[in-house]
Amino acid sequence: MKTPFMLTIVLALCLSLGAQTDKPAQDRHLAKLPAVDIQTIDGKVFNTSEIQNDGKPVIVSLWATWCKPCIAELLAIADEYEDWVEETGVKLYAVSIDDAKTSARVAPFVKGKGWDYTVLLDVNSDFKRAMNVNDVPYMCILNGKGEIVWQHTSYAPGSEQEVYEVVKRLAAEK
Amino acid sequence: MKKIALLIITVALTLVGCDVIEGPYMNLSEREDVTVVFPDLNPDEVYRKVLMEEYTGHRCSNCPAAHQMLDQLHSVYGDTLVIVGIHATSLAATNLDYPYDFRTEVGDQLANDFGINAIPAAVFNRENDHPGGLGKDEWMGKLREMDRSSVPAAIQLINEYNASAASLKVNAKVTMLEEYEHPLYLSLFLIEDGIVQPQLSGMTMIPEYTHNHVLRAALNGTYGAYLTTDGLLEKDNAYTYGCSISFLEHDWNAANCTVVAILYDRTNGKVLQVETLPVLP
Amino acid sequence: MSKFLRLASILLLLLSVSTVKAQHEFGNSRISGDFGFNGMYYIPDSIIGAEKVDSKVRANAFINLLYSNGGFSAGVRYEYYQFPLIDFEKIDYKGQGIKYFFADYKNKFIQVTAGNFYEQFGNGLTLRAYEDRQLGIDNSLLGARVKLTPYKGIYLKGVWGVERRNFDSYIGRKDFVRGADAEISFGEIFPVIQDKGFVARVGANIVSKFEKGSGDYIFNIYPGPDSTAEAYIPGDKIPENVLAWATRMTFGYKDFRLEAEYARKINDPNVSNFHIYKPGEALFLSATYAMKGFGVAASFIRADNMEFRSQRMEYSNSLLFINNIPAINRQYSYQLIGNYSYASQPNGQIGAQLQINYQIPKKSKIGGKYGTDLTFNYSRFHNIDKQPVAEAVANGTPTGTEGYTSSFFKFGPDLLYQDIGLEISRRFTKHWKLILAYNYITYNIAELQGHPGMMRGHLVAADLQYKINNKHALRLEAQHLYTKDDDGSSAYAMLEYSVSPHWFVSVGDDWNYGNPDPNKRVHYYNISAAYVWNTTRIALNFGKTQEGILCVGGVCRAVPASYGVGLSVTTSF
Repeated sequence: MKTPFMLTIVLALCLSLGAQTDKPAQDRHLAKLPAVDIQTIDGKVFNTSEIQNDGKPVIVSLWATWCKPCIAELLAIADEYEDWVEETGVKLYAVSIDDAKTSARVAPFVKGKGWDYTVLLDVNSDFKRAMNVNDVPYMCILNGKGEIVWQHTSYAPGSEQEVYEVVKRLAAEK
Repeated sequence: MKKIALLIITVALTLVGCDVIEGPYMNLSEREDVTVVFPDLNPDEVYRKVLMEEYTGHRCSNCPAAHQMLDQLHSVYGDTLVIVGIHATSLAATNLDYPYDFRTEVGDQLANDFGINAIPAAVFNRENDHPGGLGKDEWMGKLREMDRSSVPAAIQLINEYNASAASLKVNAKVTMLEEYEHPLYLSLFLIEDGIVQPQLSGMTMIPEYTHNHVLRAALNGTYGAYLTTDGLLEKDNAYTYGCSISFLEHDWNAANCTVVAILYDRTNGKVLQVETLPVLP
Repeated sequence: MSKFLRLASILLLLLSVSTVKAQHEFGNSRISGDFGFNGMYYIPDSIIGAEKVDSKVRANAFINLLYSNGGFSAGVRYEYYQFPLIDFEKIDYKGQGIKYFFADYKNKFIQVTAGNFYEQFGNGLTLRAYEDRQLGIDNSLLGARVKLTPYKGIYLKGVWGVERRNFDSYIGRKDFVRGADAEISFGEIFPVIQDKGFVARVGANIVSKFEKGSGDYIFNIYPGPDSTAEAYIPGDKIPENVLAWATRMTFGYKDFRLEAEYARKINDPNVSNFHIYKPGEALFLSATYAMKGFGVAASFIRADNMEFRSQRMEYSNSLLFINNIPAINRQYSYQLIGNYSYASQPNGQIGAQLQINYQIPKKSKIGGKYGTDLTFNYSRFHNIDKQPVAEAVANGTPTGTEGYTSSFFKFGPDLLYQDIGLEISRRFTKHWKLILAYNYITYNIAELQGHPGMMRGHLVAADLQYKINNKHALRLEAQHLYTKDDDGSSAYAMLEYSVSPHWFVSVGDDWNYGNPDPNKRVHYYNISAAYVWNTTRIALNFGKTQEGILCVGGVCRAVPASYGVGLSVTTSF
């Protein structure tokens, strides 16, 4: 009794994954970031539709100070961020989903790590919800038109290389 | 601009309710007199009863199994075990499938004070050394190990139910059978048997489940009223206490209701004696 | 079996919805969504406290759908928690249906939301409607919200709603919440302030809860040794409308920032405060200084009688909270101290937290090529000083009185939590990276969990990462908790192998070798594998888990005490 159901589940999984691959990304109507009011690190209201980089690629990362893999990912990128900016003009927005409990510590944390990212605060998880993100770390890359061309959850050491490949390709397309 | 903001705040303030309560917060009322005459007490016929407060809920899938365990315990201990079924925790909340609200303020307060988060669970004689109560597999063992050799006090009850006014007066007399050194309180609960309402059991809903010994109300507050205020109770001292409750505006069936009297030590919360008496003879 | 079928079909249904790949733009409109499925096959294990559960196969599942078109958006969430994971069952997060839906319109001047919404005023001392899916908290309000921006730099909000209580019906509810908040950002009104590097903002709000009284007395008490009277709280002395208000300000200059919020709540006799009439208050202060490579954050909190809920008799840990008093301690995701994380005490806590981050510069002698990060942390929380009022002493209970008085800045007699920690993070080469941490933690089990004891423990943790090449990496986590208290010492090791960006495999063991009960010196082993494809993640794991936070496969989530096989699927589309 169980086997056919397990089979259907596996089948459905394959279908859902297959459906994602059967069209090249470029042919699709690509989504843009939802417009949600969050905060800058100064506490000013910031609308996420203003996330842009003068036609150059943008990386958006959702993270939190309590999330180890998120920090590992941002640290790994930080090591090479200078080179990335120099070569592609990319800009990274690090949107923290820390709530009131820890959001006051985001600024010193970021400065303490010496990160050059643009840090934003999504204290009520409004942006996270609007992006349909379940778990952090989550990262997406926008092309020059502000369209989401690549998304990813989780962090495995080395996956920042894939991020950079996508960014380089986007920078070259322009 | 700031003015506009202030204006809006002021408007909002008037829309938003705020009930500042002036003291005194409590009402005082004279105690009811006890006029009935209690029969003579034979101390040799008094035995120690145990209070078992069983926390349960109509949406608790394991609770019917616990009720079966209660039946077993009852067959072993008879009326020396006084069970009060308290519907509390979120599994006692109502929803569309389980619309009947068994919860009581007194039950919620007790569940909060005894840290009941998961049910079924039970607290015996108000002993608070197991926060959250004991699970049903521990009940049998707990009852076996409870020391019931000493009988510190006896409770006698006389119920006067006025059917036309739907009001019940409970008269209680407590007689000390041993010397005691702490202030004593008496708490009177009303429980009801035979309430037919839905109950979740395992995965399925039983639409017509009989709920027994359901706590309905406390006649004199969650923790009852004092009998003695000093801590020097001589043997053979006797204290009477009376109070009333109205059945109006409630769906309680007096024929199925029983009064539970709990005599306990105010300092440590331990129960000394429990007694029950049906509302109607 | 039928339940298994149902769970399987739910998973199937959710998956097939996501295969539709609705994420397209039709003109300006866009549909997107996400779903999560978290299932487990439970194996009872009496030693670790994994109970025998009546249904061995359980799962949480939900799907979110969002539609947006210009300034208009609408969303709906379907949740299937009919046979939820045991920790959700325990908090009664159980049922199925649509408990979250909304429609929202927004332009530059106004935003109007109808349906369910989440909202926070200031730091949440008076109002915080939020969700935490891993904890099973969803305090969304069902009602309406209006946000106005009459002028750049001025933000006004008004809310009205009934708070969600798990899967219970809203029909027949006798309580609701309403509130208004205003914030003025001077830097945005007068750009000159901002240009000079200043930040100045003030805000204020009011929140009021209505709950119909039940009319009965609450508690009968003995009013005094010479009286023969009974005392009780009559129905008309129960406030049906409870008001809370707060003011806040932020001041900043360049890299320095000071934030303060003070909140107050009028008489709110409820089950958690023994029905006392004392007003509640809370103060939150935070000062931060940050420059490149260096940051300091200090914060202070005091909360007194500030538990604020939609229903005065609600006492469940996760339900009907209107506000949220933040626990400002540093949060850790270390396996071994998951059970000793501080929980905020809204009815009485005073405490402070200091965190210093420093980066020994890159390419310096001590800092090494990549720099070395140091994080120092200290936090300490006490209960508050409480002196019972004379009436409460005379009555033998605080109920129906002003309860107690408390001197504002005095630390109470009981230490609730203390944490002294140092963390060093350093990358040695392109391949090797090491994080070392030491923490000394004092955790008051009696006050925070309700059973006797105080845990004092030393935690040493190491996280060693070896990047074999751009695709393959190994990570070893090792931790040791040394303590003579509670369950005693534990050791933990976890090895994770990842193939970027798709595969994660890990093996871990948490050995409670120092448990005072030799039968409970258990190995909490865990084996897991995860596959990630863009925003889809599928993870399988097998093992025993203690309650705490687990981070494997690059994702952190709270995990209950259990034993069994788990499957989790999440995706967004």
